[in-house]
Amino acid sequence: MKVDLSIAIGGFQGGGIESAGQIAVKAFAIKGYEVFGSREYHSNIIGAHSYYHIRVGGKALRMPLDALIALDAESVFTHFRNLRSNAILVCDRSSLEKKVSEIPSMSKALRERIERTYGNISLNQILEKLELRLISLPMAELLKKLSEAVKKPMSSVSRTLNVMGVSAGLYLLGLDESTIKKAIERQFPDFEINLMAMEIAIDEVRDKERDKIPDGKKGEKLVLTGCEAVAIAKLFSNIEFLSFYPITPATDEALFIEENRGRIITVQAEDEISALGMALGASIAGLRATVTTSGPGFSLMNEMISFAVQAEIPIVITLWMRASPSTGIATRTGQQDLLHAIFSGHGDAFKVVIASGDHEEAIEDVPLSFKLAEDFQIPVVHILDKFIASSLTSIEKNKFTPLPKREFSTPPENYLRYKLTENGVSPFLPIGMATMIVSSLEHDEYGFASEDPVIREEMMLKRIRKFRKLAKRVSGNSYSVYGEKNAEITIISFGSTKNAIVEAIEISKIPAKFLQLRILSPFPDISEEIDGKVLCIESNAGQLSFLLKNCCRVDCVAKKLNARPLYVDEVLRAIEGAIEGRKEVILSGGV
Amino acid sequence: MGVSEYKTDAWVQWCPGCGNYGVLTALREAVSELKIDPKKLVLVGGIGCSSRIVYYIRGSNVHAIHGRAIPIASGIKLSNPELTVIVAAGDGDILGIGAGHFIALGRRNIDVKVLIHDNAVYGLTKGQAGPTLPSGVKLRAMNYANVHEALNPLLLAFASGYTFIARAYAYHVKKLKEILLEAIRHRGSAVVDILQPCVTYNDLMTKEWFERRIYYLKSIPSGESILDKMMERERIPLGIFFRKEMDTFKKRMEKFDVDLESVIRKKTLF
Repeated sequence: MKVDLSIAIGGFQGGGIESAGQIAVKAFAIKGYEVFGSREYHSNIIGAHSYYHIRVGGKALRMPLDALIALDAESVFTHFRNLRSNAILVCDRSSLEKKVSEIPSMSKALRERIERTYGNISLNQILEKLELRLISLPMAELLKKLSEAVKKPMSSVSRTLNVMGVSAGLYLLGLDESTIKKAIERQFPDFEINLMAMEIAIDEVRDKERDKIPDGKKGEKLVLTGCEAVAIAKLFSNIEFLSFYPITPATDEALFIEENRGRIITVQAEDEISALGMALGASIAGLRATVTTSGPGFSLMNEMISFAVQAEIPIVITLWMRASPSTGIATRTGQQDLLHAIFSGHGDAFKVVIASGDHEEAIEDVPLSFKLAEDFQIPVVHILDKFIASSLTSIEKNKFTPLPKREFSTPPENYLRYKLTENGVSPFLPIGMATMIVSSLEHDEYGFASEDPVIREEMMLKRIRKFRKLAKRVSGNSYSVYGEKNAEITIISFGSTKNAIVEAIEISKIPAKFLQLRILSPFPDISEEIDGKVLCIESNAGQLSFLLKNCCRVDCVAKKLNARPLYVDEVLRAIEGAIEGRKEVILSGGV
Repeated sequence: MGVSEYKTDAWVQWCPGCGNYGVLTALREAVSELKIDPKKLVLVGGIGCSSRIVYYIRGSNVHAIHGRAIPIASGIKLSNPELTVIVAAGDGDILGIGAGHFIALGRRNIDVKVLIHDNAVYGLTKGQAGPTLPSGVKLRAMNYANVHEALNPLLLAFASGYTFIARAYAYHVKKLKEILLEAIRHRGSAVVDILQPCVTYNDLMTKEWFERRIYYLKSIPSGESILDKMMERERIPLGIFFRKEMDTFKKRMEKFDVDLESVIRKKTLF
């Protein structure tokens, strides 16, 4: 029996939704299933709607939902249209009388959309229209029970509402009590009160109809967010210096490294210009250095990137894209910095841009980024996005590979920092090992400023040769191919859209293949790989298709513009649209 | 090591009579007197006339970008504490475009020395008002009189937490060298505001203008007189204004070994 579930857990921010989601992810991982949990939240500390979308038995998100665990009325109003018939709905009994107009935290736009269709409807009235397995829990009563049992006031036990909701929901979905218990123990250092909350909630639904879930594949697994995966990969890569300025969602990565930093120098800089400046200083001094940021911070780093290109300084910049332009929607996803990453920095600023499709690829791409940065003394921009950053997933152990520390040769008599060589790469020595000038000005081989036309041309050609050499090195691994050989349609995409597309082409009735671009600068030539129509899918206004037009035809561009992740069912719609001859398809899935 | 050890064969491109020559001579003499191995001497320049000093003193130097010498120097010093790291840049570079970094360095007390080549103009872009130019002044190349108030580098340094604050005058090479020696010997963030005429573009703050006003502090002030001396305007005191030993940034960061196994264990489910 294949277990395949799509579950949402919703509530207000600050109400423990993240913990509830993590408990669910961990519980299914303990049970032995592949599980993926995406976190959607507002740029808010307390009160706004937040939810976890969990997929069991797959790595991509799909609609409709098989279950919704709603800790408040707003969650039901937000997600009820995505429930399949006979889905499980766990909610608080006291919220059933609530009307749409009675929820001040709900976005005005959503309230108006619901009211336009249904009027000022109450939850009860909505639920009458749907075929659901409704489990309404008397939350106030259950909390009172817990309060009496632990002899603590209601105000102090009410924070277990999330555990009650998720425990009841997971139990109804078929997970056994011991598995849920284990997940709760892994989640909280002080799990006692939460275990009691779990018991009280499960007792309440013990006599209800339950689904069955057989045991999956046993074995130890890691459960990591994208930020944690990248952070740990950097620790394994033997980084020695990290600087950052707080920004969503990159901060989570930086703080994880800081927490486990050991001898790694970690600095919270005064801005992103300084963050990259300090990391470049560290790299010049011979340390393996990195920064992590998001779109707005990356904008500030631009001049430094150009400096790193000109002065030939290795650096890895992790860029967690989020919905932009400007501050945009800081806590939502997007792929809008592709062109920005490739063309960052003024001048002929050659650099590497690597995009990871999921956590596992991110773990591989981190050491690759350092390797390329150091071998070619060039900036590497590793692009990921908020969707990967905050998604929690199970990963096989031993995915992480160590990268040996940077090594330097003995300084020659007359060291030349920018020595002209056949492949354009000059031997690197850190400052402190020889006299030199690391220079942002055009320079001669030693590093002295020079405006001489012959030297200028030689140095330009040196940097071009170096980048060509790099392109040759990566040409075999710059994209992955999935799907059928004789496809009617070729989908091209990059980054976090990967798993939704991989799953979609497996179930698509139209034979399709998928070219997933892993390295976007130097841009790969994929013209030989095209079969049938070309469909480009991306979470921006068409940046990849703009690049693709240099090497192949693009028949249709499917764009995700609503700052939500891509769903499997949307990919199927995009394929149909392209086959029907549409040039553009807007994908609007997600809430 | 003799002063000649610190010379390079680059042609010095400053205007004849420029205050930068005084700084160049004094700095070469100071590092020579301290016997700093050129390989371990790191000058980090910003962008502008004065920042080109990185080409004229033999070292393991960095010519950075405008306003950003301090972050790069900070990264270098944190990474390799055995290097002597000196930032040299103009008042526009350090106190204009790079002011945020100037403040942050003081807050961190990283062992980096900042030499402000303070001539109150942007020379290399041909004479615009710098952050230390008094308001109401119209210099030769300016379209109209300065509408900005002048910034006081010493007060800003003091507020930012610099643990060594001094002011010097570029044409008094011997005195300047003495102050540079003290700054380099100091453990922590040090700033030396070096007043210097720009012979081409600053037709107000000339050699004569400075030399009518400057005088040397008899001793390092203490208590309220620190601020009084920093704020003095009619006459311009020179010398060390403030000096204090404090833990540097590196010392504030505890060290331990990365335990990769425990990181993985924390994240493992079974």
